[in-house]
Amino acid sequence: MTNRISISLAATGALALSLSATGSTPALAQKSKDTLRMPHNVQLQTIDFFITPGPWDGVFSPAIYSGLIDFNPKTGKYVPNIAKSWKQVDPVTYEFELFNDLKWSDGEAIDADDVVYIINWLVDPKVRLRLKANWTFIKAAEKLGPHKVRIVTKRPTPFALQRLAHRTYIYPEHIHGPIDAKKKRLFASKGVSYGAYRLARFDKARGHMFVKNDGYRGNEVMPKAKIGTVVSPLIPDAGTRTAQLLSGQIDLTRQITPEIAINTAKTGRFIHSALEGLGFQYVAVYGQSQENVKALADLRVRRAIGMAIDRDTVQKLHAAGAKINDPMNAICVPAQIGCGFTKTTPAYDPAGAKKLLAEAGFGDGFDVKITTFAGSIKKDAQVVAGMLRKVGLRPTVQGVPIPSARKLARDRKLELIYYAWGGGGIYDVSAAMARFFMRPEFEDKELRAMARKTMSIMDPEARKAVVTKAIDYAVDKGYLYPMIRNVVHSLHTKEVVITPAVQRPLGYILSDLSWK
Amino acid sequence: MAPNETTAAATAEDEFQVDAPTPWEVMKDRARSHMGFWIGGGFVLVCVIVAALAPWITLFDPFEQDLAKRFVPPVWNEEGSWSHPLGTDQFGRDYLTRLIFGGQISLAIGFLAATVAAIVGSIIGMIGGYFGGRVDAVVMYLINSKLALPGLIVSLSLVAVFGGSFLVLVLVLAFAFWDSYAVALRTVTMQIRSQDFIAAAEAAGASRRRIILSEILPNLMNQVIVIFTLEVALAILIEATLSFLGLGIQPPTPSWGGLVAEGREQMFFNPYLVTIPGVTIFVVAIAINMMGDGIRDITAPEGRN
Repeated sequence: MTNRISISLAATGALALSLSATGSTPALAQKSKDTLRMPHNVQLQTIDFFITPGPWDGVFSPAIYSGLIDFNPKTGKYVPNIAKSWKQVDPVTYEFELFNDLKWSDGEAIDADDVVYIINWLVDPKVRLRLKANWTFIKAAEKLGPHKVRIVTKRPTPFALQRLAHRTYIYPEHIHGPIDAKKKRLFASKGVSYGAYRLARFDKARGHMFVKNDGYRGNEVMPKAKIGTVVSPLIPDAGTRTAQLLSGQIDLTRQITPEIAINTAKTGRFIHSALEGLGFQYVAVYGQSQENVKALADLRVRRAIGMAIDRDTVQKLHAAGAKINDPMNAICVPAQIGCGFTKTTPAYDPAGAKKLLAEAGFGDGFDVKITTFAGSIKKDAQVVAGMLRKVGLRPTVQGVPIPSARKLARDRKLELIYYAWGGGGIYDVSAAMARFFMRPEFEDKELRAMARKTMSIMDPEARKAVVTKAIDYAVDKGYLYPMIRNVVHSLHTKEVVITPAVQRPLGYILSDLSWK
Repeated sequence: MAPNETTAAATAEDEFQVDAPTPWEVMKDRARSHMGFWIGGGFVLVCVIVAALAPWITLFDPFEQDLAKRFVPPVWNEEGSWSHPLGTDQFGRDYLTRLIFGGQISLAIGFLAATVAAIVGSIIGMIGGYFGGRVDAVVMYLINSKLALPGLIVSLSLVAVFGGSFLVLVLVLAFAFWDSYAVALRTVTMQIRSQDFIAAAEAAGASRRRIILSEILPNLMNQVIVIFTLEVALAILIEATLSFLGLGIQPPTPSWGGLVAEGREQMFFNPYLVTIPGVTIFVVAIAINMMGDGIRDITAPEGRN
């Protein structure tokens, strides 16, 4: 015991010393060296969206890789990237004319072979990718000339161009192709790409390094790099990242709580940037939820849950001052093509919620476990749990890593769900339809049929009508209540400026960063 | 017998009775002058009473959120107030109330885990020590197997697999501690087993069960109590560790480790959220250890280092 106490005291002393040290050292941004130090918080096996899609790939990958085209949500138009022009020949055929002077970061020319190779690799049934479903609408790609390709879809697909404009990156065939099929994750570390940056060093110990790619053409959506070098070490703990920022060892940190960001910014030495993303948080009642907690099988109880939650308050706490342009009223936002709804999450009405619970025979409440992800969302889930407790429910909150959440779903152990979703990264409602209604969670065949239908209706108005019907149906059934818009909180030195060229799914990407 | 001889014998008997205090009186004398026992035991007793009476002595619901009153600092801060003496947490819940209810959970887990471990470990240790031979070999195999396991890592794994419910935590911590009792009691039982009074009991036809429960167990209680107090403190610390790592009692149910975990994010700007439960865990663990040391000094000072 004596040893334990000694160790505790020593650790406390060391912590106190480190805190006092971090509080007194001035922040020294690396503007003079044109090197931005921005840590990431999870171990990355590779920086390749196809292999390890995740939040950090959403920040790094769009600045390293490019697709054929990009989509500008401000104007609602597509803009050239690797392809200088394109046309839809018939409902299932798209032709792309590539720029003929683009080069990979190793100097090799970008041509039709690269495009045909990667598209066909993505749709190859033997290739297993976590987000494979994103590209299953494509039948094949074929070369029409040195800089001309044709992409054919299996059926008329209203979101085909959207999907090609978002994260359908083109890789160099001469690098990616020769790598053994089981070792494709090694591709990213070769550092050959076409984008605002190229990966100059993949080093889990010293941090990954991204260097400006001068050969990148850039456009209004995916601009050229403005900072010469970005170094990203792994620092999992938010407190350590904040301490390193305070002591001048890093220039920018993401993934921190609003309270830390606001309080640190109050020192006057740092800036708190809060940017609205495309993602959102939601409450869901799956089919298994209704089996595990009998009360949840009652529609009145499900509606009461929606009415018990003061979404505005949860949003204010989460946003911490950020302006929310598109409050979450449905599982899509009007900016997304095809989004339509007439019914939203019930208005906040705790008295009405209590009344409904009493009518359903649950006036004394019931025990329910809220499953959410580990991390900052758990705090928002606890706020929601507090609101549910006020109408009589007795919730506990279980925060689990995403793989554990998937296992709980497979084992049919979920009760009430409070999850976040990144919005699918595209400005089309298809991602939401696929994510929420085409999976088996709600176990409602009617809903699945409606969602499936939206995936092939080419007429925008007719499609929107079916989407509206599906979303309204889910609200009527009390399956799913969108809660709040995700906000990305960052803290950085005054010399760093974050100016997203367009609204980004995850707030911003590397090429949105610049020096003041 | 001559009258003077009778008188001398009676006088000697009287002197013996007067000068030899009973074991209980000896312990009372030792206890009176043992400051550590009184301070430690007193503090633990107060904590247990406060935790047990939590629903009646607290002014707030430990789960009730008041988002308009988030991060109210403790009363010693100039912005603090007596309405929330230890302030409020990030959800506006009264921190003193959470601390007291957290004590209920943490102390209950500590005492229950140590109790279950004491029952299991004592039975195994006594069986090994009393029967010896192959039975003892099996017991030693069990003990050695347990000693070879890294306690905290095994606890982490078990809680991760079975979840962080109250019952699971008690059982997991009991599993982590039973070997301490088994090791000590096996050795002491072996020593007692060879004493004359055990042989006398056997000669008188007492059953093995009666010998173990009536003759051996009372002589082991001192060791059991001392180990128990030390293990209670350790169980509270490990529960705090598991809760800190997010594997213990799940929110919003408060526990001391859980309070530290919840406050960790706010450590830079609201350090009281970490220091208050942290200091509480530290002080309670010290107090329980002082009490345990005191019990050992009072009941068997020869065992003191």
